[in-house]
Amino acid sequence: MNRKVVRNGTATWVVALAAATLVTRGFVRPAPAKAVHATSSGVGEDVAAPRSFAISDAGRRSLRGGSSEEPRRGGTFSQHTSAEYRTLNNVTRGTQPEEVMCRLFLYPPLIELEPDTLELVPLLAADHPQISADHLRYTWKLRPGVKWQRGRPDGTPVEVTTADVEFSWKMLSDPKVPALSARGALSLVKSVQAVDRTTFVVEMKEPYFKTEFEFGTNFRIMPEHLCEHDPAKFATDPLGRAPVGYGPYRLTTWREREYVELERNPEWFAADRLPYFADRLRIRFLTDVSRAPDLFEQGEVALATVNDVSRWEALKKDARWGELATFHEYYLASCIYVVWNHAHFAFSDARVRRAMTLLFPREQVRDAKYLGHAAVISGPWPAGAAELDPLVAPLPFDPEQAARLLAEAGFADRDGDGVLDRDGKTFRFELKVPATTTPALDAGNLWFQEKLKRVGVEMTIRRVETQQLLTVDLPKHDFEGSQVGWTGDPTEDDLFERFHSHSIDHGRNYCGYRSEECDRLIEAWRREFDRAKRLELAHQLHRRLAEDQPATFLFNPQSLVLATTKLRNVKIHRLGARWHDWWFAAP
Amino acid sequence: MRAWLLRRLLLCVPTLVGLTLVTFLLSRLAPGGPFASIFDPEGAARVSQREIEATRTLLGLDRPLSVQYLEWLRRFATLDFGMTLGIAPEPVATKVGAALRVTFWLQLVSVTLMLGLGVPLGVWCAARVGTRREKTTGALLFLLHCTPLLLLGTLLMKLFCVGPLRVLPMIGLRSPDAPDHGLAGALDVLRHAALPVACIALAGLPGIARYARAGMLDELAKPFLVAAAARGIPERRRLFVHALRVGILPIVALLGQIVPFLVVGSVTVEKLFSLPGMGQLAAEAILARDYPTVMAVSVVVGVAAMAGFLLADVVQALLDRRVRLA
Repeated sequence: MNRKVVRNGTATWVVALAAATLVTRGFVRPAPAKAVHATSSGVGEDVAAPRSFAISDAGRRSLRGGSSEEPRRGGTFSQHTSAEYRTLNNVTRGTQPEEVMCRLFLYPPLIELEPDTLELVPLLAADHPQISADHLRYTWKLRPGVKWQRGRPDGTPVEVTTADVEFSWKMLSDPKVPALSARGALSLVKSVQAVDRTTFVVEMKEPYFKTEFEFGTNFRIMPEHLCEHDPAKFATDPLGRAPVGYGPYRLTTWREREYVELERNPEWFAADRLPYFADRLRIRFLTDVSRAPDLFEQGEVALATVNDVSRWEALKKDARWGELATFHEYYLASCIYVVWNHAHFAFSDARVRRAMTLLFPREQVRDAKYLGHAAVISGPWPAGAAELDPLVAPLPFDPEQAARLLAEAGFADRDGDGVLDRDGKTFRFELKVPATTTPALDAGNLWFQEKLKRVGVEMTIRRVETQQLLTVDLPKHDFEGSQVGWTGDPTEDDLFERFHSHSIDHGRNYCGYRSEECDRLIEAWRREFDRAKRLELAHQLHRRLAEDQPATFLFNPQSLVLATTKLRNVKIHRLGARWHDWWFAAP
Repeated sequence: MRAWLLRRLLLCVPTLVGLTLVTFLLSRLAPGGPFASIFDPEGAARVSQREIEATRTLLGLDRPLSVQYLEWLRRFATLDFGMTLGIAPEPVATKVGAALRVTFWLQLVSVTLMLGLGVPLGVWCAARVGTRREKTTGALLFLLHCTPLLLLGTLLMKLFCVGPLRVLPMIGLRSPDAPDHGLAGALDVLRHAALPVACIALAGLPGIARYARAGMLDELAKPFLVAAAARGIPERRRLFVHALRVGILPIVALLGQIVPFLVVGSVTVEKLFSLPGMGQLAAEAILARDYPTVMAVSVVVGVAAMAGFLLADVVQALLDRRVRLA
């Protein structure tokens, strides 16, 4: 599923004032009034709903659509993606670009999140599943009449049926098939069995409130009538390069390391809700995202991501760009934080971890380096998430309090070398950062280093190849402090993977955080089917984590996107820049 | 000469085996594995370490390194490079072949341009040494030599692809809407290749020109050419008939480096202009820990390097009898 989604957030008084000013300049979607939570500086966080700016008249038309410009079919919608697809086999796919392509355009899932309300809406499924009282048995019904884009060799059309579901499950669960990502996402599924042509039953290993969401969005279906049935050969099936799906588009061209092109599927079954007006879709492979604005300026892409906040601000001020683009700013469910290795002699103490958070000048970095295009977070969810307890504010930048905490923890400069020590050990540590860290965060790390030095803690920064960090250092807990990023689920991201003690050796609890209360709360949260009660548990979890500070939660960076002014009805949904309801203006 | 050539050819075999062994060990000892791209906390996939271990076993990556290397060597002996490693295997030879075609033509045109402009420029500089124009040209060449390839490419891109002068495409080798064949298709490829070719040629030009200049200056200072000038032999004849034959020898020696250059490709240029060549393939394979592709690329580059050095020696021997005797 596409986990890059937008969080609705809490607007602030300060931002509301700024927004009021922006409305007069073409601010089209004022943030809805939301709860306000205090921060160190006494004002709320900027976690508003998506914001779209139009500098020119063309831009304003583009954003409005308007009654005079009725939706029209046609045009080629082009965008870029950060990496080439290794495969478009729906079962073995794994990376995010592959997931976006398969989920949105080729093989829509059983169920999906409504882009604005984030409610679950059946897509390939005819309805929501019937759930047994013990929450272990889910009966799904497929939407009848959905056809594969290619039928049998004799030309007979073939519908998507439970034969495809059973076949796909067989492949997905076979260890000979390298379906790593799919098996990871569906690890709680015990069995999938067809009842009739359109009905199938899913048995779960344990009750989990997210089963409908997890199974409905992550189960992947492949055409049984066209696929290789031998699990050992399934991954090399030519359908990985020439996919046959049932989605809104079908693949026509794949130029290696250049682009893929798709054309609209005339038999797209959900055109009433997800119309996809563009006749063709072209996706460019662009590993260096910093060049996306140039590509946009050339007219090669209609939608471009900008990863440099300084450039973004410069483009917004450029009148020529006002004619070319509308500007959209929104938050995805992604977080950046520093994990502390709890096996380290200093970081095993919660007071020291808290001092680290107090010493990271997050507000300063947000304002001076991210130029306001990031929100400071106080927990493992993105700013504004309902799971965050509104009473827990991000810790302020407070060196004095940090120094007091370090002293309480027994640290003092006993040998007069300017570095704190305890039990004969000096407080020096290494912060590992992935080689792909953004310049804004790099600058923030240097500030952090300087603030630490002032209180007598020596930190060295080491850039580590991302592969090395992710696959060796973090899983083996071979670090003292390390920066990581996380892109979570659009709703109710599960903390089991990151903060449950079981995940120290079997998941991504890299810091080695072990708390009986946290484990109990996570387990209770996973078994709780009442949303209100779950939220209460999440708030308790947030309070626990804020107290223990297993990691220093830093930022929820903003996504910055340009859309061509040739597009109409451009709006950013809570799930991000989904363009199924945008169309091109008449030439 | 024949015995010498045979000896050189036979020496290539252990060199190649040594190269493959070193590449094999370096690639396997590097941290991470072929599934790192989906084992990414920032990404969408939730892949457990247990799943990764199971897949490593499935692909035979848990076997002893010696067994894996010998298996690779056995296949390589039959020119079978195997399948790419990852969740969607495909023949390595096909992948390398496609990338090689792109890089070869790109580099061939660039190198031809580089030599075609660099050698005459070097000869001209040698003939006009000490003049203001020669000094200015030298300074400009030095500046070009000092300009990083990435900066040069970005400047060219800013100049010709974006802004007011938007005449050339920025990335790729073909426009999506251009025909695959015919004159229009060829012109489209030429437009796309113009900047990468210019970038590579300009980056290599100063080196070639300086080599040619130095070689020519050495020759022009020799007594026989001083005497030739005194006898009134025209400058053009002294330069191109007498001096160039030996003065070009340093450039010929450079051939050894230029031939592998034809197949290696430039990671920087290919990445900057999003070209599907060997440079990018190698970089991607290394980052993705796609061991069979890394091995195939190193073999291709190794063979090209050995062929290049052999060719350079042969040509030098043909041009200069002293080399043959040595």
